[in-house]
Amino acid sequence: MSTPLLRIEGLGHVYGARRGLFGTSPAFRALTGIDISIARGESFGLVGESGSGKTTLTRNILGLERPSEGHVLFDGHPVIDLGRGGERRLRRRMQIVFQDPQASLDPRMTIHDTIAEALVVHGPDLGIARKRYTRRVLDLLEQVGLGREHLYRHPHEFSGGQRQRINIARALAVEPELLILDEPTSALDVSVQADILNLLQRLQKELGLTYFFISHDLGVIRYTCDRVAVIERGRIVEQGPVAEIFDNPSQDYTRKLMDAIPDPDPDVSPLRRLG
Amino acid sequence: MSQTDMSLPRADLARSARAEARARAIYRFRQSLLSVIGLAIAVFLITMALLAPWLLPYPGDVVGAVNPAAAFQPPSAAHWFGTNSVGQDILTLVIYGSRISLLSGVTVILLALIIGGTLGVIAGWVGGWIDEVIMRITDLLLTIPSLILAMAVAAALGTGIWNMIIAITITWWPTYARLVRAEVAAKKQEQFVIASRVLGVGPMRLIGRHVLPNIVTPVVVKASLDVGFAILLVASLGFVGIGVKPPTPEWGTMLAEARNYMPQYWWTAIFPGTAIFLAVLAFNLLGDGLRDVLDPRTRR
Repeated sequence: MSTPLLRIEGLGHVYGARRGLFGTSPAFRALTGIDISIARGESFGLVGESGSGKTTLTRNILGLERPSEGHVLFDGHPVIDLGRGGERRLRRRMQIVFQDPQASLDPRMTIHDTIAEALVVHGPDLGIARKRYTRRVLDLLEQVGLGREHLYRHPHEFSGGQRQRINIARALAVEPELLILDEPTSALDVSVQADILNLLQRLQKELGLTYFFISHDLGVIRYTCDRVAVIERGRIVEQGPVAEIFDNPSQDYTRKLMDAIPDPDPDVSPLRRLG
Repeated sequence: MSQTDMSLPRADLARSARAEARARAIYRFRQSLLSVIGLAIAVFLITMALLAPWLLPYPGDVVGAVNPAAAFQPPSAAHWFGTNSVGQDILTLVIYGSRISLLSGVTVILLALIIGGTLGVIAGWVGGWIDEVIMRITDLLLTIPSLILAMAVAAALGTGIWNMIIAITITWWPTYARLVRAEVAAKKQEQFVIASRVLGVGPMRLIGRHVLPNIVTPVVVKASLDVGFAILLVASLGFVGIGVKPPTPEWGTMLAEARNYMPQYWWTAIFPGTAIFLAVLAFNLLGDGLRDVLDPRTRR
């Protein structure tokens, strides 16, 4: 097999102890011994409750935090200490879509300016002339199902689903290889969630993207991913092909998460069982 | 790619969106009667200050002309606001005093904004020990009452309008450093700033394009409120005798002098006092109005 696109080896992260006026707050261990390997073109899911270390893991992958132990390798190269030019090259290849579509858009910028910013930073590398930025932004908007009438609007004029489409368009502007999806649908209405998931699947097929899909919703993972890892309190407790894990979970924790999936049949709903 | 760029919606769409936003802002501002009154008074005072040389009924009085024979005349057709202890026309002094008060009030806030804003951005963005050093100096200055500190600085530098402006600025920039630092530190953690960072945007553009535009609202609101308070502090320094020296007319100084002749010569105090009151009130109402217009949380 060729080099995995993203390889995480023995990653550990400890938030340092802080010495304050009223004593020392103890060090907090957020991640322990994470080993993940994601092949090009695959959809890899990460499942865990809030507080299980998903956000810290994302920040380490993006090179926003320095790991306490282990490495994050993107296409065989570390993601930190790259220098200005190296960092820019990495940013082009790896992008993220955050959970909260509203918070991830600058409220004072038009959609055009928000997406065009990616081109301003990477324009020369992408081979797009300044004159063609607007054209390219428009193409990106069309790719995610928005139109030219949205070009000069501000984020507050859009619905949650539209905003998430804009975030996806911005992430795609640099033509990345790996897209990290940090709970991209959990802030959206159920009906809109399906639209976004379908959009993401279509884009993956069209653009040959690799997805690192983070969610606490096993239903979403089952729908989108090939392989899945389950994270509990900073450790990977189970990892494997989606079908295998779902049909035959080996860990109590995984089973617990699966029990939390709401069943469309009201007679087997956990709420009913409580009553 | 057969389509040409001619077909693109460009400036016209952008312009209409901006025009619409501006129209909405003006509408919101006009909805509030008090802020319109504040704006009207502020515009009136600023116009008066700019046109002062042509408005003065007795121009000689502002450069120290005295006329003891006409001392303490009550308000009349010749002297609308009456005359003071040396026979100077109080209307003349009040009009000319607006120049001193507004000039120093606005200058103080602009300087405080530049100094405090710059230090605040550095502290909030860089963090670490640089943040600690800047903010501890800021805290130190904030523990000293501003009037006392301004008095000490003015006493050390000597009197005069520029020394007074420097003195008040020294007491005032820390409030901006604190506000801007808190806003920048908060915005730095916002998801849209992180998203741009992940996109590869450099620190200068992050600050200039994403952070600063999003903290303008609280800063502008505070600045317009503060102009009123700065005018009050200028008058206070004049009142205790460390501000602008006679013969240059200044509202606080006039008030201090008038104190000796109360209550029988009430007009010597009431008119400069009213001028101070109006100026402070105007900038406060204006600041409140701007908050209503600019604060996105009150937007519908």
